[in-house]
Amino acid sequence: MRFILALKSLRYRHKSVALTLFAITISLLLLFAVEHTRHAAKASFTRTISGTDLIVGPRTGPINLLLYSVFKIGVPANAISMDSFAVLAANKHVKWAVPIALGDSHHGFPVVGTTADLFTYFQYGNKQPLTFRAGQHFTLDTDAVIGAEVAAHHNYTIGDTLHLHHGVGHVSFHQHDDVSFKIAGILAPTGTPIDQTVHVTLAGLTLAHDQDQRIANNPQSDNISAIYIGLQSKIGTLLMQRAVNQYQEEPLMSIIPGVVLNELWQLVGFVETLLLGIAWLIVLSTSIGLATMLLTSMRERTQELAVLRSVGAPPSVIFWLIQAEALLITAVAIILSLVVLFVSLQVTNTWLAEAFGIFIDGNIFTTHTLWIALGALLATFLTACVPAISAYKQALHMTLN
Amino acid sequence: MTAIALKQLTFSYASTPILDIDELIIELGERVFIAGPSGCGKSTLLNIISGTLTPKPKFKTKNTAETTPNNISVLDQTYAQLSSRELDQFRAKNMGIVFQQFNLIGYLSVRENIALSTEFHDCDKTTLHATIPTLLAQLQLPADIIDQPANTLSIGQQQRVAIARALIHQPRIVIVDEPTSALDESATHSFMQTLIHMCDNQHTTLLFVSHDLRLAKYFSHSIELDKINRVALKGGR
Repeated sequence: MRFILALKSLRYRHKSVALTLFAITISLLLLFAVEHTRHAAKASFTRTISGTDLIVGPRTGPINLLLYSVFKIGVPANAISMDSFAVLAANKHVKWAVPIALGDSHHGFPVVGTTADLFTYFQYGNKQPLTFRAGQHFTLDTDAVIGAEVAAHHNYTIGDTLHLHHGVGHVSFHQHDDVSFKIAGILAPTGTPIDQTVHVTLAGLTLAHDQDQRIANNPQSDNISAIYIGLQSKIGTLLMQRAVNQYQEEPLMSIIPGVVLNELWQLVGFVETLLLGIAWLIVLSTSIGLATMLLTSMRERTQELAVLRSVGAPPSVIFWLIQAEALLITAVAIILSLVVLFVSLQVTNTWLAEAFGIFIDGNIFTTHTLWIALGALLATFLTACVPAISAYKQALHMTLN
Repeated sequence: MTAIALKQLTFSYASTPILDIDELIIELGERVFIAGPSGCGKSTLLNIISGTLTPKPKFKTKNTAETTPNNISVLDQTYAQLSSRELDQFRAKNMGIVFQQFNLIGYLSVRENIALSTEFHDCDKTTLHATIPTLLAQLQLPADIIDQPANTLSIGQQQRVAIARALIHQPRIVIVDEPTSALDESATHSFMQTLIHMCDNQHTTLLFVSHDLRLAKYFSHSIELDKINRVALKGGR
């Protein structure tokens, strides 16, 4: 009966209630979206590389090395010789080593010169290996393996050819038109920068750059940009790091990808905290709007409270009646905002992945969501205390005439 | 058992005295008409009897330290012994109240308005709710209004529904405060007859307050408040 009372009271004031409900739904939708995107972005960020124990590159900043070797952002200032690669790959702690060479692009998509080992050892997400949606890895020096987004963007299929452009911009003044690469494989989507990468063999990359070697028909790569290394055991990580840092032949450094990924996230993390803070402030302000709406309605509800007091309703019932109305509005707003967010994600998920390579998990029903919902209800309870206590006091001193 | 016993009752709003009654006794089953001009403290008296207004002790003397001034006893229950919550439950169980107008919650149906009286005390709700149609028929209200919102009824119908709400849980005392002020003469007569008849059927003590002395004819006992209220006698108000 008390629930019906709260429900019908809200229905009676349906216009102001509907506007308040709309405002709270929008603010909660924003909060849920920010929080979900924040977690999805962090998950997407940290899943870019896994199973690689060390990344070795020429001496630079750790974040810079991570940015160009994993995210293909920026270019390395120096290179590593293949001799050094051979020495490091032969270290007793090293289980596998994959060289990568950067610097070229294909219509804005970065080109990575590497070996077929990349497709065997490189992992992302929760140690998921790369898989081929079509074709296979390199068999010839002029074979290319492209990421899912490159294939989708250019409608490439197996057997198509492509050319490399010098530099990493969308517009290049120097194109390596003399050497055509045939697409041998298309990778399945990973939700990582791999999707936007064109992989070619180191030899093929050198072929495109070095006219003399092409004429000699013996392409050899001299320099690479970084090395992905997998170790025999985790215990060897620090020993190997020391070995790299003390390498005498040329200045090198090594990073543990997980550690530097966390450092990088710390740098950009304040933005997500800022967004979350703004979203919470919006929820708080709409909760205050709800409390104001209820407080304003108290004047016209004097007789209603008098009737309730006459039939024996204690002031505490009046307090909880007002609270129930406020919490009911917020509960409905929570459900509405979650439904809207869920449907929006289901509808846009494929488009986001295909158009922007953004993979956002469609499952929004997590413990974080539960905590936010409880937080929103708590904020409502606290702000609704103002009209509820006002009604309580009114009821306490109310007479029956 | 005495229905209502008030002794040494005083009440003031801030420093303005309203009531100063030495004694008022109403026996169980009586139909009492309390009359008096506007502002003589009739509604205040009803609020004190219903327990929604709690008067503070008038005085303490060295010689009468054991006595409790403002002794209010209803159905042999002294209010001073009850907590505020117990007082609310006591009212919910033992009293039915009809006041001047706007007696109902407009957005609730007639059925829900009447059922409110069973909400705040322990009783067999299902059985009592089943009597609502019968009660409406006894009050000469059409059966089809039962699920209508109360704010769609006429004032006369609303007052009858208020009687139904006051009587559904078969209270020992019904308190009625100026219920006919918005009704014409014919509607007033019909309302009074119905109220008296229903209270007689349930052997309910009826405490009826009005400034309209013409209504005294419906009651077995009349009290002119301004003659027992010392504040009025002294010309304090």
